[in-house]
Amino acid sequence: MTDADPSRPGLEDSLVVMDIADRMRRRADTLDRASDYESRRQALRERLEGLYAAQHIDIDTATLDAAIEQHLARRLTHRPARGLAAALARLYVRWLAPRQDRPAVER
Amino acid sequence: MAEPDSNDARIARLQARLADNETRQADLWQQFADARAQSLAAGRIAGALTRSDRRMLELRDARHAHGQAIERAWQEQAQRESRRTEVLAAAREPAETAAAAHAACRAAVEGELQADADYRRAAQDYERTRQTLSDLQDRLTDARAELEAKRGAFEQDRLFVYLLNRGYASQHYARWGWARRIDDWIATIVDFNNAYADYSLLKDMPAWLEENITRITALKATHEQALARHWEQAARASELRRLRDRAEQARLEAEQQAETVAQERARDAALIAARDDYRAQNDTYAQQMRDIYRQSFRDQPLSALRSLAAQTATDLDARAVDSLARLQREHADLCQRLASLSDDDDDDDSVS
Repeated sequence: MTDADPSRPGLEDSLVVMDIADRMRRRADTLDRASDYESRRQALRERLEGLYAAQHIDIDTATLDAAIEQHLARRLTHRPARGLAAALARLYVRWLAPRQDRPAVER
Repeated sequence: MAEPDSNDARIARLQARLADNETRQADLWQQFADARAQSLAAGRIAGALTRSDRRMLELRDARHAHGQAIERAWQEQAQRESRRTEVLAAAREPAETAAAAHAACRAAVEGELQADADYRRAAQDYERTRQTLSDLQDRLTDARAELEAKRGAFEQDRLFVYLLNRGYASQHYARWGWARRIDDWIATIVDFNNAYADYSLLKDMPAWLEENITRITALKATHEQALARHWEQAARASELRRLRDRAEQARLEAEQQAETVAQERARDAALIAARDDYRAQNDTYAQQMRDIYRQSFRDQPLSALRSLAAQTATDLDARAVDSLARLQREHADLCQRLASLSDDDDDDDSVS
């Protein structure tokens, strides 16, 4: 039995590289879709117009656009947790967590 | 029986008199300066001129020239405007002709190039990249605005920042036992996985778009070069270049002319706006002329003023100097009384 040619990539290498490439491609797709604000607006507008038309409901473009803007403004937002559990977690982070893990800047 | 004045009332009265004295002195200085200037203008000064006199003469000449310029601008404004309109039209016409000749030649050459399939492909590639680039730039503006608007909510959440610093849910995370369980619990509370996905998307979008813009800009430059090669190889390339240079030159000349005309208009407008001030003797030259003697005589002894006044044929100067002397004596007396009253006031305060 001869040794494998070291210059030829093994199956494992190929799979790893394919996996990385695949992840990069998926990430690029996600970023592309997320950053394509105008297409997203347009697609939403067309879909909603279709839905309203199917139900024989008249809706003016300004209302539709305002609703879409509100919806887009809500995406990728974050609301800090509230309640007892969150308060306890904050106490832990403030006083009990190792110093190097605490948020650097007091906000 | 009238009540005797309090110390404060007497101080206030003396201060009012002092202020009045200073105003009258200022008026007299002004009178003296005006009289001196009039004597100078009328050539009634017998002795050698002082430095202030010479400066006054310079200012008078400059003011005279300024006045003439204002009157010229005022009287000739209609003619000047009409001449400027003609100049602008004359400069614009060759620029428009040259631009039209260049556009016609360019359209003809492009018509010839369109017959070439390679050129058509290159033009389509260029147009596609140009549109992509423009689209990416718009997206980048939106992405940056969204990042600035929304990052604060993530970065101000102590729990989210704690897990982020900890490297939670990444390959660098290395905590075990109770510490890990507590972190898991905190991650559940803040819904870390979803929040982190949103946060990283928010942060990565501008960077990813910038990378793409750099790449597409380079691609656009390549397509531009390919297109430029086609244009260079066209039969009438040299004629087109010549026409383009001529159009550019004519455009620059027209712009320069427009700039010159705009500057002239602004100058004339400023002159005309200064006309009322000039007539009211309120222009800068008049103000400097008024101040010149006042500034230079302010610190001189009255004897020096008297000798200057003696050089002139009018007696106004001499009277002004006498009044000044009286006012200065009164001023010194008022200051002394005020000082003594203030001292009494201080003594009363310390006793009480």
